[in-house]
Amino acid sequence: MQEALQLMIAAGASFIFLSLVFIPMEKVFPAKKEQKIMRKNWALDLCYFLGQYLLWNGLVLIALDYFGTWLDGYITVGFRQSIKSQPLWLQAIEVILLSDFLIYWGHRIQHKVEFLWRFHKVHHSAEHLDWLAAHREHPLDTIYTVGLINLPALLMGFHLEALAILVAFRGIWAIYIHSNVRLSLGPLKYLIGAPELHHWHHDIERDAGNYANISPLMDVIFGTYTCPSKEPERFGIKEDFPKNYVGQMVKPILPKQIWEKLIRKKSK
Amino acid sequence: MRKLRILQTITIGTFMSLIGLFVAYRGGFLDSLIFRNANNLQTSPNGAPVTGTKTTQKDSVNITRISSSKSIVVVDKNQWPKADSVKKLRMSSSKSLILTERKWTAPLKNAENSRLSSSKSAIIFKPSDTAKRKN
Repeated sequence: MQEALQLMIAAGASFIFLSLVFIPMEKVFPAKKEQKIMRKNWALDLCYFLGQYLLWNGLVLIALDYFGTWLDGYITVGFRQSIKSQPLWLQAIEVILLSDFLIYWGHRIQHKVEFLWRFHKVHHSAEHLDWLAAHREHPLDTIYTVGLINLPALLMGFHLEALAILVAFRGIWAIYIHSNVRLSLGPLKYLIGAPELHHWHHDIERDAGNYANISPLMDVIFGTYTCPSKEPERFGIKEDFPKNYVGQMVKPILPKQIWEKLIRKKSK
Repeated sequence: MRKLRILQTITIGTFMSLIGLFVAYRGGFLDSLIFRNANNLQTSPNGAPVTGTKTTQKDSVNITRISSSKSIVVVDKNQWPKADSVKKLRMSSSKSLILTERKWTAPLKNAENSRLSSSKSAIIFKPSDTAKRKN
């Protein structure tokens, strides 16, 4: 009971904090001026926010913990020792670069392979981008993403506590790049990414580019970097997709035939 | 126009300060401020801490600050689980009885603090943050 209460307090505190951080920015530097704070599907994204805090985060962490435990059985002590013998700063650089590399290709594959896209398109189904829409994510998509991004650290036995500041910054910046903000960061955008880049990733075209995680370095290297001077006209996906939370959660995990049967039954 | 400039400057300043505060909090730089009152209540007449749990937190935070010679090391190795204990934890988890054998909170807490979040969003405050303040 107390744990449930703590979970709710944490979710509430996070919501208030994030509102304080991002809403003034969205009001003063809006990317889409006509977009209101309580825009269409705001409640749906709030469901995702609460779902993430109250339900899925625990599941994701447990899955990741077991994945790490399973990996441990395959990694030799010699390999871990050789990594540990390196200076900490070198280990940190290796972990960050490998994470960025893996998540770039992992993300690019999500847009190409139909099985992965069915989960990932939940995130892309958002037709309005802001800080709350960043939380629209299928939990299985989260497990895939978080698994990939943490894989180098898990393999190398690197404790990310040593990069606590960077980990925290990347976390909050990932939300910022979804916010309805257009504010030039100058050359800094090549290092830490910016909403103007990530908004183009959410363009209605499925292969619009900018697949990198936060820093666009990998996009520049692999030729998928794009940064037009204007905002995309439309966000979202071209495919037909449920408009409610339960539908968006269930559709990706069901075979197409079963889903269609369910829809037919419902419409009768 | 001037008013708008002032508003923009204040907004950017607030935004950067809040992000800076959050990062500092997550990095453990605000722990001494957050735990200061709780620790004061737990001191004996001669100023020494009375009970273990709270003082351990304060001591370990101080040790972290002193021992981290490099700027990026914000959590001292001593705070991490010892290699042996990690091994024990990991080995036991491969058994089928794992769920009944070990506490769920332990791996969750460790995982929460040592994992990169999703590339889309992150958990800002966790139940452990509220628990921390209550202790």
